[in-house]
Amino acid sequence: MGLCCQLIHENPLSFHFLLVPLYILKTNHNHETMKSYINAIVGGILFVATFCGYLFVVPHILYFHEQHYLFQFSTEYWQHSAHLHGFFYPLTTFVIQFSHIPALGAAVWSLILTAIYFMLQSIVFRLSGRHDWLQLTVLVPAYLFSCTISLNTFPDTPVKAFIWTFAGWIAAMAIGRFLPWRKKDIQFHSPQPRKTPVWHHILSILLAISFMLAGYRMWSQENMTGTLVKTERAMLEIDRHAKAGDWDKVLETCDKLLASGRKNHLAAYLRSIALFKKGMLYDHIFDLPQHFGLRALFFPWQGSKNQAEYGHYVFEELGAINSAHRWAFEAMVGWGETAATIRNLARYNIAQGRMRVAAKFINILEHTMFYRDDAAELRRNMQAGSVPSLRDAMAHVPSEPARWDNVINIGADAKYVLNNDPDNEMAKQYLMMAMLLVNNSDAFIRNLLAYYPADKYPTLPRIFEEALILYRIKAGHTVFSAMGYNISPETEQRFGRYMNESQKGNKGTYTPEMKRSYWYYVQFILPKVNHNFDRVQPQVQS
Amino acid sequence: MKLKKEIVRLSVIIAALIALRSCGTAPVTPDINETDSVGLWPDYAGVTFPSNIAAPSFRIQHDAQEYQTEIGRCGQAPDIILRSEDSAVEIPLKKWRTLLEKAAGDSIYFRILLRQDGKWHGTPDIVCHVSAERIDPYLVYRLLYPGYELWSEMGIYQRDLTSYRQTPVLENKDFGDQCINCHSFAQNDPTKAMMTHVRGKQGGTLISKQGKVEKFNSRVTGFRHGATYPQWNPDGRFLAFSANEVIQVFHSAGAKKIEVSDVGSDLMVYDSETYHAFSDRTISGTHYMETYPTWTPDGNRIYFCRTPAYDETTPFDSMRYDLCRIDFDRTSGRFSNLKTVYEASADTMTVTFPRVSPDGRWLMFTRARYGNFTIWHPEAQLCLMDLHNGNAIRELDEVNSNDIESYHSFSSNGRWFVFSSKRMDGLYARPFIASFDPATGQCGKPFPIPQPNADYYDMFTRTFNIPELAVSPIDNPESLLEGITQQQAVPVNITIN
Repeated sequence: MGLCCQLIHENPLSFHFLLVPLYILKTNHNHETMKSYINAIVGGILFVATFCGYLFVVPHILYFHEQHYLFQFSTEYWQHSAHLHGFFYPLTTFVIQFSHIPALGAAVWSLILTAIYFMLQSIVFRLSGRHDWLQLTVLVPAYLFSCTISLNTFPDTPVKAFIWTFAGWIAAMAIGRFLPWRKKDIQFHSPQPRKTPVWHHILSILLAISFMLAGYRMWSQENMTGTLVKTERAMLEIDRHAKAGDWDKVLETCDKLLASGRKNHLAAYLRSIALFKKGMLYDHIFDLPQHFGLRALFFPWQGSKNQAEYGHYVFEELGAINSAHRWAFEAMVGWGETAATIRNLARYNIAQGRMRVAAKFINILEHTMFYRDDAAELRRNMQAGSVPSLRDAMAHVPSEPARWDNVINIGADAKYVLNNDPDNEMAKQYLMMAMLLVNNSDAFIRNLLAYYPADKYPTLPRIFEEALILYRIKAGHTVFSAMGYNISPETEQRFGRYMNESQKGNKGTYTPEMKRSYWYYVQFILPKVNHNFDRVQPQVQS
Repeated sequence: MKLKKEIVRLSVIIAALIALRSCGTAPVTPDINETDSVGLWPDYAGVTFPSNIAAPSFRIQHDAQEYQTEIGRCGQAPDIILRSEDSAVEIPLKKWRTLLEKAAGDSIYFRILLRQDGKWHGTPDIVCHVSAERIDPYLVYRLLYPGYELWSEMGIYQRDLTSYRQTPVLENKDFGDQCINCHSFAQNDPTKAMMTHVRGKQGGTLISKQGKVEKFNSRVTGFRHGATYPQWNPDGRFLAFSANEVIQVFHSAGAKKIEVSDVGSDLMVYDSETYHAFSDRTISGTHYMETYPTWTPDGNRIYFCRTPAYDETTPFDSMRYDLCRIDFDRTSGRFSNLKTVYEASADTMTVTFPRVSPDGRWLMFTRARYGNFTIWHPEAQLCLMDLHNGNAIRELDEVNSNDIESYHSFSSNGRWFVFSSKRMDGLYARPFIASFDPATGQCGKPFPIPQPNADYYDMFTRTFNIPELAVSPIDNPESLLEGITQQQAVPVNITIN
């Protein structure tokens, strides 16, 4: 406590920089006070700049870290994580947890950086007897800020820096007392203070600001702010909306990202789910080019840690809880115990009646600061024996004969779900879309006859009609007529216009309407779709 | 002078507090005697403890305002009295050890008293037996998330069963997050011979004998697949391996989540003195797949599991393994006299993890409906075969639960065995200990290895894999790590007769 008082005494405004204008009005502008309040101004600017940076420029970074590290108030967590990753790991995750509320997270990180600045100022003053007029010390928090705004770096550097700076500051306090110049300079309000020109102070503040700006500029160049950050930000925004179940926002953000010309698998995949949720899958899936082909519907299992945390969505919506559970579990193995994964695992285990396993995951959430409400809700679900909005479509299916997930073809899995849950609309639509996206016209027709018989469906979705025209060309009119389907005159006319354009051989003259057609997908997009994604060989674990 | 007075005053207060606490933990005479026993979680009621095991921690599964637990030898006053408003019972280790020393070969009771509405309710004593036989003091296991294909942090750890001390042997954080698996010891003695596999860029099979560590290439030249499931010959020289090509598939529905299946496997024996391996066409051909070798105590015979070879039309849930044996001549490296001991497939069952008891009379194995990776099969049960009595088989009903029982190993004296079970929650494997009577093949009620706190198993999110009892600790973790990171894997050739 004494040491803290000492720091505040040296920099009277250090922790009250927001009150700087008031202070300036009320205090005498003697030499020492001037120094202090310049530090306070710089500290204040630093705090505000980093706070705004975290909150408005890179909010997705805080979100990303918060979603991938979960601090737990338990001895076991502390011991285990410190043992595996070092002492600073649990300390950092402790700080990260506050980003659950973005403004709070931004404030905590900014406070850490600002505190480091003030402590460094104090250390310089204590050891040299001089203030850091050039504000070189601001370079340290500026650098540390850059350490916290990358998705690929665990942000423990500022936490380490804070601890070490704090230790250094205490050491400087002790050592400083024995330094010869200390006795002289420690005397505040000396009878004849040296006059420092005002321009020194202005220069000092300007230097600090330019250091901060230079740091930001360097970071932004390194990270190609224009493209990479925007994509990262959009992806994490999509992820956030999907976790919240806000499919309108998912669709909006995906459309925005994909319409900008970027090829993004996550966006294409979640957009398909969002379209289904809004009843727009058939009508709008080809509004944007489906560069990922079949993969627009799912993530094939490739042993990727990055994909592991997203693969569960489609299976959860399909009601294939075993598969959703597998994805969530792989995400936990890949990323550790994150809030989203733990919550999903608790939900899936409740849905499958494994309450003791669910309780284990709920226990974890109960030991966190910000997920206790989720834990309480899950406890209620557990007591009720089900999770609202979660349905195990295959709860009645026996274990034997065993059926294995087709980890590289969602169409096969959708078909299996549909066989066991005939009213499963999503399985039906995904099955049809899978056939269309790989242009398997024979399988499409088989499933069309089975699930959209002509007598029950006098009118078909637009893309079905478009696919039927292609099938008619392939199989002939006689075969087509026998199926009993009608194609609307409007679709026939559009096909005529499309063929006219196609015969010109100029891809650039297709109208937006033509580009949204299944014909355009088959003719121009599908041939470029990479179907040969690597299937990572299974790893042996005995 | 003033300080002295303060110290005296403080001492008086502490003494008074101790006295008060002592008064609070005197035996209680119940106001009401209940007829129903209370449940314990984990369940330690009626088990047989080794005389050197650490104290169990558990929760009393009954709501009350206050709990008193009295523990003592049957017919005598309690040696340990614990009172708490919490239902968790965590017994001081020192007092527990003293009690077990006195009670070895005798029975002890757990007397649970519950205070409700100001009255003490007594419940019937929970009686456990304390065996005079000691269990091997160390348990070695791998800890990891029970994942499917991905892995992250994992390690091999050794637990001192006489206390709660767990120390890492090898953790993959120290060698680039590579996979480490399948540890095995000769006659439960890591100092005599130990092995483990490392999978990854520094992969290979590590062998440690009398502290000296060597690494050989798991992919034996001239053999189709890499060395996988191991078992040491009791002499600490020969190491039997199955060499498996393993794939994983995922269940779309039902209680099972994953199927780990072989699409190819053969047997071989590696001579750790000559760096040469041996096999035979009868156990490495294309007609069958052989796996999970285990030696008899005399070191002259290998029991293993065998199924017809896989082809692309074979459904994984139709693969069933029989129990076979083959003799091995240690002087010539030749195999002979292959015989099917138990045709489990005829009963539409499958056999995995055969292990012979140290006296050579009993063979314990896991039986399930199909496949060979039974840790994911809820129907998997432990069975016992009497090798001296016409290979009679019985399911170990006194041990099995409604959930998975799988990997198991005997203690060096054959009086105990440890096995993996997922009975606590259906997902996480926990090591259970049960007593074993070599004369009759009867087992005691199993119990999970004691942990320092009552909620340990409810909170712990890693699974225990391959629990192996050991007579001594692995005392050269540094050399093992050095073996992984510094040594080049020695190539191994094979002779197939």
